[in-house]
Amino acid sequence: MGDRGLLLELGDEISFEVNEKVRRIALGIRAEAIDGIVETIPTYRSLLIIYNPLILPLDELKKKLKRLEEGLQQTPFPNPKLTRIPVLYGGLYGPDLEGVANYHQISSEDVIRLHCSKPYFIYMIGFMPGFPYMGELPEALTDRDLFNGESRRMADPRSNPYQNVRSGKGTTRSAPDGRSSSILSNH
Amino acid sequence: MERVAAFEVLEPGILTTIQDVGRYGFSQSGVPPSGALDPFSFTIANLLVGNREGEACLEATIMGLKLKALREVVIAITGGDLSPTLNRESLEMWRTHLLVEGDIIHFKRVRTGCRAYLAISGGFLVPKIMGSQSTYLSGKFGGFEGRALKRGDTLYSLPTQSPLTKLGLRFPAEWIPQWEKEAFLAVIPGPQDHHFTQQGFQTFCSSSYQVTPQCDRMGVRLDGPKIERRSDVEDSIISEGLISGAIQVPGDGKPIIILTELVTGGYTKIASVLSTDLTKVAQLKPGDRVRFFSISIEEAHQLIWEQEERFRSFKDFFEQR
Repeated sequence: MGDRGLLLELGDEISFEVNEKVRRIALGIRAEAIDGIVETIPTYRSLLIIYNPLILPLDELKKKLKRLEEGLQQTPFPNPKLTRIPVLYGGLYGPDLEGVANYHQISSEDVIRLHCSKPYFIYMIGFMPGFPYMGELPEALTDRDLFNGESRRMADPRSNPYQNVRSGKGTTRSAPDGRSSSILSNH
Repeated sequence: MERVAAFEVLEPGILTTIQDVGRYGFSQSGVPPSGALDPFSFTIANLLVGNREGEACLEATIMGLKLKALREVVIAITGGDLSPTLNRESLEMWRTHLLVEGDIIHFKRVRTGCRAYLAISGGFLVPKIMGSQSTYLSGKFGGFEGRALKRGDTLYSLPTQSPLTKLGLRFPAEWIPQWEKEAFLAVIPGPQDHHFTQQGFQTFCSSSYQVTPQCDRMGVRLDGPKIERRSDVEDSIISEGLISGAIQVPGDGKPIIILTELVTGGYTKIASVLSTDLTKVAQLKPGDRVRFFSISIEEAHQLIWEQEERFRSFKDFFEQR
C-alpha cells in the first residue's frame, strides 16, 4: 500500500483461522523488533506493515518476513483473555433495543438473553482507540436475509461496543450490521 | 525545566492545533499517527528556528489565527501562505523573526495553500502522550488539552535554544514549494486497483478532481468523474489497515484521500499518494483541484531517496549558518 506500506493478505474471509495467522505474524514481527518497521496493523484477514524505505528497503523487508514466517510455529501464541463487560440494555443506554427485537420478531428480553449468551472474539482493534471488532452474534440476532445472500460480510454479524472516549460511558449497539455513519470510514 | 509563557491566543482562526511528527507504534490499538500534515513545511519551520526537526509547532488552517507575544521569542512561519502580518505589516514567510512582548501575529486570509506552520525556538510545551505532542482531534487527546486552540489559551515554550546568529535566516527562495490550484499527485496503484475496470482506472488517472468542503485532518473528499468498478465486486472490503495517502473509493465512485487521523477502513483503495507528495495534499483546500498519475513502487522509493538528499542539503545549509 503506497511507498511505505506492505499489505500481507492471508485470506479473503472473516474467520478464526485466518485471523490467527495474521496475529501470529504480527506478534512475530513485534518480537523481532526489526529496525525500519514503523507500525504493524493486524486486521481481520490482513496485516499492514508500515516501514521506512530509507532504513529498510522493500526487498530486504520481504526477505526478513519470509525468514520469520518459516520460524513462526515456534513463536508462543497467547491464549485469549476473557473480559466481562457489564451492559445496560434499552432505554437511554440502548435506544435501538426495541427496534432490534421487532426486526427479529422476538422479545427485548430474548435479545438481551441471546446477546449475553456467549463470549465474543476480538478480531482486531481499529477505527478509534481501543475499538474492538468482535464476532459472532448468535445466529438469531444476525440478519438472515442478508446472511443467506452471496456475501457473508454484507451481514457482518458483529457486535461492537461504541464508547465515548472522554466520559467512559459504555453502551452496546447490537445492529445487524455494526457500522457507523462516519463519512470517511466504512469500518 | 523552566517554562515560559510565549503567546496568548487572541483568535484561534478556523482550526489551529499543536502537531509534531506524529504518534507511532499504537496503530494496532486504533491510535492513528496524527502529526503535521505537511511534513516538509513543518520540518523547515523547525530547522529555521534552530529546533530539533520534529519539535511541536502550530498548524494553522486557512485564516484567522491571531497571537500576542508575551515575551521575546524567535519564530518562523512556513507552509501555505495565509498572509501573515506582524503588527499589521506583512511578515515574510520561510525566515526567522524576533518578536518582542506585545507583538501581534495575524493570519489574515489564505492566498495559496491551506496550512501554515509556526515554529518557536524552544518548541511549544505540551505533555507527550504516547510519545507525541500531536493533537488527535477526534480522539480528544494530545497537543493542547486534546483540542483545537481557543481564544484566551496561553501557549508555553521552553526558553529559546536558538543562537542570535540565526536571526534573519532565510530558507532559499528556489527551495520554497509553490502551492498550485491544481496539484499533480504521484500515486502507487493498489491494493484493490483490480476492483476497478480498466476504464475506471483510466478515468482516475486522466481526470481533474475538485476538493469538496469535506476536507479535514482525517481526509480529503474529492468530486469529479465517477471511477467505474467491476460489476462482480462490492463497494466495501473487510476492514483493513490504512496508510496516510491511501485513496479510498466508496460506492459513489468519488475518491477520498486518507490523512493522518484514521488507522483502518473498509472501502476499496485504488492507489496511495507518494509519501513525499503528501505535503501537496496538506495544502489543498475546498475548490482546489488534483490530478493523479501512476508510478511504480521502485520509482516511488527513488523519489523518497531524492527527497532525503534534498533534506540533507537543507540541513547542511542550516548548520553552516
